[in-house]
Amino acid sequence: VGVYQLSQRDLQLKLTIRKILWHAGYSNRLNVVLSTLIAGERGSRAGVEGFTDIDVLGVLVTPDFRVVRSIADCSTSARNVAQRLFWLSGVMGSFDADAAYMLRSQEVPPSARQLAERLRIAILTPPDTASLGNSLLGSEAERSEFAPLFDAAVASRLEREIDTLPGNTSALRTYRRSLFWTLPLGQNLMQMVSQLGRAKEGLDPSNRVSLALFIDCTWLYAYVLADTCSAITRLHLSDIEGSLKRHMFGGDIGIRARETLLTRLNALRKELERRDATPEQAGMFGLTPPYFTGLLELIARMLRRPHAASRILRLAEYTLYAVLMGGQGPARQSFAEFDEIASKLFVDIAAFLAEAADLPMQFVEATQALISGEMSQPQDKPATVVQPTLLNP
Amino acid sequence: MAAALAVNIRGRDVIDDPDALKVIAADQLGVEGFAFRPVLDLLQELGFVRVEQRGSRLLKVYETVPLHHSVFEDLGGHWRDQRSSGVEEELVAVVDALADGPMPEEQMERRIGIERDDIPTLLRIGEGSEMIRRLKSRGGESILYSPLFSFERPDQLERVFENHQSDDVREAFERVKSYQGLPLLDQDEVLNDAVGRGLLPAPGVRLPDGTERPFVCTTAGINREFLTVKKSVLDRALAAIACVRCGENYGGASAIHSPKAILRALLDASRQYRLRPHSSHRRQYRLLRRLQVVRYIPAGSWVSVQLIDSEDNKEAIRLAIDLLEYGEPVRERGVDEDAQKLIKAEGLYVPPIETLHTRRPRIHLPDATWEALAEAARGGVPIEST
Repeated sequence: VGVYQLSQRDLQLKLTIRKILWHAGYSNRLNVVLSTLIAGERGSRAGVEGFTDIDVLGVLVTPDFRVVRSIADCSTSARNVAQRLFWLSGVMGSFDADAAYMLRSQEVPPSARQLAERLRIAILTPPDTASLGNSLLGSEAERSEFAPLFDAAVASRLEREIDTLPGNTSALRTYRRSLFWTLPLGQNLMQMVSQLGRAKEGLDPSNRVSLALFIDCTWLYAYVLADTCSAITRLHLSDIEGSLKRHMFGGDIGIRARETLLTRLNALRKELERRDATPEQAGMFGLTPPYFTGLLELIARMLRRPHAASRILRLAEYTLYAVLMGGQGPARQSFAEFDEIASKLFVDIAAFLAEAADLPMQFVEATQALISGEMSQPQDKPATVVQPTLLNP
Repeated sequence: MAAALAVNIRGRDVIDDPDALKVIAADQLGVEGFAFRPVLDLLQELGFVRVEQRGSRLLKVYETVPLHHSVFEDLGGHWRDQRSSGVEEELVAVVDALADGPMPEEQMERRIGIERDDIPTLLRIGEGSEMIRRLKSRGGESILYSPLFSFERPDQLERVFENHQSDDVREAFERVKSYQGLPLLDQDEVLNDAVGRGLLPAPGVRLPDGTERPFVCTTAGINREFLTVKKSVLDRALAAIACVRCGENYGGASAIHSPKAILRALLDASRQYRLRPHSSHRRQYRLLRRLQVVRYIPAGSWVSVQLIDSEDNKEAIRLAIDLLEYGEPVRERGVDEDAQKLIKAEGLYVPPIETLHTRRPRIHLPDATWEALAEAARGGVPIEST
């Protein structure tokens, strides 16, 4: 993935649809890159090659745990609208999106609107967005606390600043930006923990950009958890543990394959070491990773609170921009209808990630402080005060 | 106290008013005001809560008590880690032994290995904290039992000990505890006496020969609410145990092999909570049908049995499974199906490894290497991209 640059003209359209979707209850991400790994030539390392990118992704989780995805294509160019509509329809299908929007800064040919109707895509031109904008008047999205979410300068700054983090976070940054969206979502339950764990030397909780990256990873994980809840609801709701394993490991066949592999690995260990497993080694070759119990707890809690899932994502999105900007009030004061349960679950997710990836617990304390403005006393060490510089760059 | 608070806040997620929690904990759970903060600190240390505070004032309590594993294991582990005193450990050992049934005081030293000199202190603390009670038997023997492990009619304990040797009583209780739903035979004097006095429940099920057989259970150790507000759930659970034990012991050629599996099948939504038809079902499950736990679905001249899908009924069956699990014969305990699968798979290649064993030099890799390999096998290794 090359250097990330947002076209300022297109960016304004992206922020317009972002505001509309936020008003409709969505949480959003800009510039979702769809890519894949390609093998390195002649012994060089593998690289990432992007297929395309989605300008805006909106995610909304219904109380019956359906994850609704809406995507938007934003351009100031009025050329090739028909071709772009076919492209968007294809992306919609491959990304399993439920709805698609095409935003253009000028009117499109009538034939394009007819084609859009057939492809189930909504075209929004300035009069359409203005009409939608009227309905936003007085809404939460119009409040000053939320202005950073819809500010072009802040949006550009996010990616730019994250790219300034140390080199040992590079793999995590690439994963977050593109590979995350390429992997089957269930695999990200383990992949995110591994990537964070690998990048931990480069992540510093007292650095606000590091904290922003951690919070963004928490957003991504909340998204995966919502999708997992959706899968468990379909698979076997009364057997959360079994369904979670199936979702993580690719069904019963995937479980069997991994169990066999792990058993053989254990046998190899036994052969090499010529002795039975020590108590420490005994659990090492189990199917599930060491943090599986914590993950199961997290999923069980989310399943019990279906209304909270979308709010967790929105809270994470707000908090990401709050830490990036600094000086924002705590989320508890900014949201008109602050959801205590969602905020608690959001911190639960952050705490799970920090613990599973062996990151400093100050990441969790800082996240809690951004939400409530109060410190949550840490569980295993004396309370530390978040430095004011963290919130005021 | 910590366990009581933990299990009662479990699943609440957010407690907005810690002051109200303090009052409720004192009033309902016996966590006195002065103990509230230390208990909360302990729960926080275990990762069961996060506390939000301004200065010393509690603002919110965020609950993270495990939903999927036992709170008591964590608390027990913590207690052991704190290097409890010898007397504390002995007291726990006594209460644990009394969970199986009453015991003569004189047997404490022999059965549990209590230091003779510690016994007076132990009994003083145990009685003072109402964990242990004493009664005198017919021969003037001092019998200990724990009110923590509730009997339906504890007043009748004394009568049973008056009528029988204490060793016989203890042995009878242990037998029932290790096999919930024990068929009551006429010659079993102690159990007939205990059942007759209402000390031990014994639902009756009709046998193939038309006679009715009581199946003895013990409620010792059961949560007290099952003896009061949830008595109907307990009655249904015991009835379920009696029915499956009847099938196990008097089922003839098609006897039930695993009573727990039968009860699990009744809880299985994918099987529509139904057992396959059998010629004996109509007789064997009559008691459960009368209690409105199951219904009969005609299948020719036989019937299949279907759980009536209500929360109380499901809870009753789950309780029955728990009681059976706790009281299964020792050979069935500790079976881990996952471990069995692994062992089974390993069996495919163990012989060649054993053959090579003697010829190969020993190689030791660090645990971290094995951990990384295991993580890769699970599919959790970080994907290399740059």
